[in-house]
Amino acid sequence: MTLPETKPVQAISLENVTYQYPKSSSRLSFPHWQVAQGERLFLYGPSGSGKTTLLNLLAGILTPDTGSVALLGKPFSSLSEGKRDKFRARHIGVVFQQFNLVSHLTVAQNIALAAHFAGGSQPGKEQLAALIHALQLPAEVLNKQASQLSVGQQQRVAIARALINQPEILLVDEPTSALDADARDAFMRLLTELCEQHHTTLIFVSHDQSLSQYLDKSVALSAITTPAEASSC
Amino acid sequence: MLMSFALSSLRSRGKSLALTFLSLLISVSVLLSVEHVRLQAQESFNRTVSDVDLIVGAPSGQLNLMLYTVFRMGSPTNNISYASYEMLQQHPQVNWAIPVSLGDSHHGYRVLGTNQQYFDHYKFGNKQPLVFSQGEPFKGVFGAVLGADVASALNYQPGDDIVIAHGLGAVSFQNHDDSPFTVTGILAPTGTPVDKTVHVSLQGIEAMHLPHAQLDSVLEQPDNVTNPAVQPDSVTAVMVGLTSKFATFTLQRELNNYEDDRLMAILPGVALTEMWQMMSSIENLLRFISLLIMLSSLFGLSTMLLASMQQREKEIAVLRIIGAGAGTIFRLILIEAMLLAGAASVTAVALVTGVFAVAKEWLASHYGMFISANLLTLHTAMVVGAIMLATLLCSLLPAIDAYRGAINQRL
Repeated sequence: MTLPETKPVQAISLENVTYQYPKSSSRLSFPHWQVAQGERLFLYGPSGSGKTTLLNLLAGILTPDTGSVALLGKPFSSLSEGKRDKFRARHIGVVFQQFNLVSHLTVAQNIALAAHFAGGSQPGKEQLAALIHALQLPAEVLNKQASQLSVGQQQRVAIARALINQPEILLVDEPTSALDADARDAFMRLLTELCEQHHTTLIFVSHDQSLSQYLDKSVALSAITTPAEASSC
Repeated sequence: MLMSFALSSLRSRGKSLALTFLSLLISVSVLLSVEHVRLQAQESFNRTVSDVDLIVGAPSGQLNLMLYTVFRMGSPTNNISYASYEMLQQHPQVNWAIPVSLGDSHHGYRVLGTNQQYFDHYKFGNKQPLVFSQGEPFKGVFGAVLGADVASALNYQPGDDIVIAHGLGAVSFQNHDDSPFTVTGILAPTGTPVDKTVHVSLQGIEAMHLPHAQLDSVLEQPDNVTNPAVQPDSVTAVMVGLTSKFATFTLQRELNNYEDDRLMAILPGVALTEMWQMMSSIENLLRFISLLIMLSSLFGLSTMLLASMQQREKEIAVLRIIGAGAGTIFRLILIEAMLLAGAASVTAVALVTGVFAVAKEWLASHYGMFISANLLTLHTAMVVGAIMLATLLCSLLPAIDAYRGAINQRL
């Protein structure tokens, strides 16, 4: 590594990372992979190629067996579990395929909960309203239970939830698979716009290559991994 | 924040929660009731007789004599002669002696024949004397003083005429219609069997057992207590207060060996202790059963939480991804269990209080137990504390399960 000092810190940096699936012989390895800050990356690959595992490693839910994951220029995978939880709360936003919200809480409570775990101040009414407005959701949605929203609305609230702490990194896993074409288009535009505004590094994972048009750069998962054997997720 | 999350999460699982809550409520109520009755029964029995050093009656068992004379329960004992009462009254070591003559009833309430000594010296609770809420002690042959419950249940006022029947049932085969008594006074409530008693003179007891012809002559001069026709020749028992407590055992031995009458003297304190020893095995059995019920519903709570883990996987994944540590998930499950057990305990205290407030009267009249409906005692607090602790222990398993699940959770 002879990178000049002036080069901006990488948002994500994986060095010699390997991960062995429990109770299975398949194994994933990421010899060297970096994502610059502010980059919006489309990561594609067929189902079962290890996309979700990679996101788990990046979110600190899983830890690599060897090698290291560094986020925002700081070692991440070597942190204690509690510190990883804190780091995740403050610096990483995550949006899943589905079920991003606690169904028995209201939208406002869901967002407040995320702010609570990040240890920051609770979002004010104006801040929430602005965020909801930016996501093109009706204002009254805030006081509805998450389970009463449509899937499309839920996914948009999930972005609000993920962005409330203004994370540097946003990890998104097939967020549109439950949406129809129109909703998907609206969702993708919103997501990329908000990331651009906040200068958020976005890792967008999907098997659907047609979504790559919304993002700056596409990478095939197979290009960054060297799976030892056929892996399963 | 965790607290409101736990509340919201509990609310979202309405049905299984309601059932678990009910099962906890029932078991906590059973446990509290058993403990409450146990303590209150003991207290109520212990407060019934105070300051009486010896109870003297015909030889039977000390328990039977005490139950019959003090609590008006159990089988009647034989009588002792009135001369023995007079002997006790004149005994140098005896401060006071109250004669007690039982065996009759008025609408199911016991009738107790006695004399002025009773109102002067009988004490209950913590050496509290009897107090008249209305009227005064009886003077003539046909005066009656009512316990507070008798007066309120039958709605009697001083001056009312009442009829006393021979026998003990609420419905008597033989009514002594011809010997009407007049209420002269009503006692203030004591929380003891005194409240359920009709007090008359010893002469009154004699008068109502007289044949018609003789009774008429007594009725002609109702204030003449020296009338030879109504002089008592026996009493059921005598309650004795001594001039010095040190003489108790000497006098007890002396009375047990008394030659002119067959007497037995018992120490109420000793008899009560013997009674509690007999009760304690039943008591322990009851406590054991209620603890088992409690335990089984705590396992129910544990099962409910464990079963809910499956459906809550998604919720826990969301919490994890927004930065909740596995420890937070662990605490969350414990908080939920504690909230549930806490709510069940509070409701149980209210429920048991309500039940005793209603059943108080019935317990007092059927079992002579005066149970207060006040459950807010240190002991209740300790029982609830123990329940909360047991809940904590029983919910450790699901909490650990959630903790492990949270650690192994994938997105």
